[in-house]
Amino acid sequence: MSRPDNDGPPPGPMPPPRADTIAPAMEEQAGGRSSRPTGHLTHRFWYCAVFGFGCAAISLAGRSLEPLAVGAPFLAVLLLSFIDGWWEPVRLRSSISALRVVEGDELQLNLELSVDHPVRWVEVEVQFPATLAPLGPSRFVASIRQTRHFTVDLQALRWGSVGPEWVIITTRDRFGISELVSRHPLDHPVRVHPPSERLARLVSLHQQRPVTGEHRSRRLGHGSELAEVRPYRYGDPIRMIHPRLSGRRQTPMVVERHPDESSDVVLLIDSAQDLGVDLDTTLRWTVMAATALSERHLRAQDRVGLIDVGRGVRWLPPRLGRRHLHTIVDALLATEVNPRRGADRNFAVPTNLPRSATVVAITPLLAESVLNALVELRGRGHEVLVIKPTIAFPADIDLLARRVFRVGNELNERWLGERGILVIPWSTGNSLEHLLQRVLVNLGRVRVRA
Amino acid sequence: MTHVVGGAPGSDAGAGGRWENLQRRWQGRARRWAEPEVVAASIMMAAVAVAGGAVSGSAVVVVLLSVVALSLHLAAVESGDLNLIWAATGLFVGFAVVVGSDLGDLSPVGWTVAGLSALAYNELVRLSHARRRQAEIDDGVYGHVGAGFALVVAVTVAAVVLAQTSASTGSGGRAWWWMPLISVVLLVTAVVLAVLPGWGATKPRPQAPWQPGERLPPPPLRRSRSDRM
Repeated sequence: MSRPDNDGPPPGPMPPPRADTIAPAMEEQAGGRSSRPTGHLTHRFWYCAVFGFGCAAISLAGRSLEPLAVGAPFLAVLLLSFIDGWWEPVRLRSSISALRVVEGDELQLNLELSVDHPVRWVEVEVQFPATLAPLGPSRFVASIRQTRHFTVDLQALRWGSVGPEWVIITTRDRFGISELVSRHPLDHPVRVHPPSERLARLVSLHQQRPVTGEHRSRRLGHGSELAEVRPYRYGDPIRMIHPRLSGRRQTPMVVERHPDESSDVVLLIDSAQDLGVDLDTTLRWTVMAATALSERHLRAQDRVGLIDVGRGVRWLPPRLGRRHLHTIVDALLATEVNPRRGADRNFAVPTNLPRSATVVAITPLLAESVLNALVELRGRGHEVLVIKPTIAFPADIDLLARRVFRVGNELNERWLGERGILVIPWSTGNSLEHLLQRVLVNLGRVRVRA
Repeated sequence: MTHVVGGAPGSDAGAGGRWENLQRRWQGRARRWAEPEVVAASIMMAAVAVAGGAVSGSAVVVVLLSVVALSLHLAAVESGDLNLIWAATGLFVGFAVVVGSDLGDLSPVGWTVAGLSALAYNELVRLSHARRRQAEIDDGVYGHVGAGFALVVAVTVAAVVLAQTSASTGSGGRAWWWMPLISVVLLVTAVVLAVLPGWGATKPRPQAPWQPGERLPPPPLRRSRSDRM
C-alpha cells in the first residue's frame, strides 16, 4: 500500500533496512539537465482570461453590468491565483529500502519533498520499469506546508538490475492557473536476484588443480575421503600404517585416501536469445543455474569464470573468493538480450581460458554463433558440458512448428555430441540438483568417447 | 504466438484476453463515474439542462437539450480534454443564464450565480480528473480548492455589489465602468510582471554531448491534454 505521511518532520529515521539488505542514504535529486523545472501558465489560465476579459469587453461595449457579473468569477480566479503564488519550486530527496532483493520481494521507495512556501497542489508521479511494479498508487496529489514524505511500496517482478526511473513533480496554485513541472531521474539501482537454487553437488571436473578443494581426486594421496585399505608395501611412509587395523590383522596395514582438489570452471551463458513468456524464459533459468553453480563451485575452492556470449562477449576470468561471487552475480543480473546488436554472427571466444578449465555452457542451443563457440572451445581441449534449459511450448504454437523446432534442436545436439560435447536437457521446472546427478552419470561415457 | 524474443521483460503481453481487458476497462469506468465529484457535476449539468429546456415548455426540447448537455458532459469527463471541459462549462453558463432570465428579471445577481455555478462545475470536473491513473488525493487538497472557491465567491459578490452600488449612486448610472477597467489593468499588469522575466532570458541549452549511460528525459506517460491543466 502506498501512502503519503503527514506534514512536518518525519516520525523517526527512515525505515531500517532488512537484515539481508543494504539501505543507501537519501539522495538529493538536484542538478542534471533533465531536472530543470519548467514553469508556465496552464490552458486554464487562457480559458479563464478569454472568458473573463470577453465578458468584461461585452460589458463595456454594451454598457451593461450583467455580462461582467458572469465573467467576474473567472477574473477573480486569475487574481486570487496570482496572489496565491505561482511556480513554487519543490526539492526532492529519495531513498530505497533495499539494494538487493529476490524476485517477488517487496521494497519501499521513500520520497521526501520540501518547499520554502506552502504549496496547495503538488502532483507526484513515479515511473517504474515493467520489471518493478508498485503495489499501490504511484501518483499522489497533496498539499505541502514544509516537508512531506511519500512511501511507494514496490514488488520486484523479474530478476535483473532495475530501479525506479523518474519522479515527475508538478506544482500548481490551488486554482490550477500556473504550473511548474520538474523531472527528477532516480538513481537507485536494485539488483533483483532470481530465486536461489541450493546445490550440494558439483560438476565433476576433468583436470584438477593442485589446490585443496572439495573435488575427490581419482588419484590416491592425502585427503579426507577413504579410498582403500591394503597391506603395507615397501616404500610407503611409516605414518600411513594404521595401528588398530594392523593390530587386528597382525600385519602392517595402510589406509589410502583420495586427495581433495579443485579446478577451474568457466560458465558460458547464452544471452543471444530469450525464449518464453513472462517469468518462464530461458534466460531467467540460465541466470538461475549460473548463479547456483558459481556459488557452489566458489565454495568448493574452484576458480570460476564467466563468459556471456550474447551478441558480443563479456568475459570475467576465473578467480576465487566471495568478492568474485558478487562480481559474477552482478554480471549475471545485468544480463539482457541486446536487440540493437547485429545479426547472429560469430565472435571471438577469449583465448586466455585456463587450459584445465571445464566449460559449463547454459544455453538453449539456438544461436549458430554459440554452437560454433562451443565447438571451438572443445577443439582447444576444454571439456564442455551443455545444460540446455527447455521450456514448455505455449499453447498457440501449431504442431508443425513444434516438430520443426524439435528436429532442429535434435540435429544441433547430435552435431555437438559428435564433437564430444555433452548436452543435458533441463526441464526448467525440475531441480538443478537432479540435473547435476544426470551430468555425473553421463560424463564418464562422453569422456571415454572423446 | 506469444513467444517473447529479446524483449518485453516482465510485460503482461498475452496475459488475459480481450474480454478481461474489456471488463477491466468497464470496471474502471464504473469506478470513475461513482466518484463524488463526477456524481455532483453530473447532477449539476442534468439539473441545469432540464431546467433550461423546460423554459421552452416543450418536452422534446427538454429531452434534446438534456441529451446534448449530458453527451458533452460525458465526453468531457471521459476524455479529460480541456476543450470539451470548457465547452461543457460554456453550455452550463448558457443554461444557467436562460434559467436565471426565466426566474426573474435577470439582475446582476442572477448572472453572478450563473458564472459561479459554471465555475463550480468546472472545478468539480477538474478535481475528478486529478484522480486519473489511480492517484491518491489528499483531503487537504479538497480543502484548499474549496477554500479557494469560497474566496472567489466572496470576491465576486463583493465586486458585483460594489459595482451595482456605484451604478445606482453614481452620476448617470455609469460609474461602475471603473470595475472592469481596473480588473483588466490589474490582471494584465500582474501577468506581465510574472511572465516577462521568463521571456527575455535565454534558456541555457545543455552544451555537453550525451554520454553513454546518461539518462534521457522520460517519454510522455500517456499524457492527455488535460494533464496540462
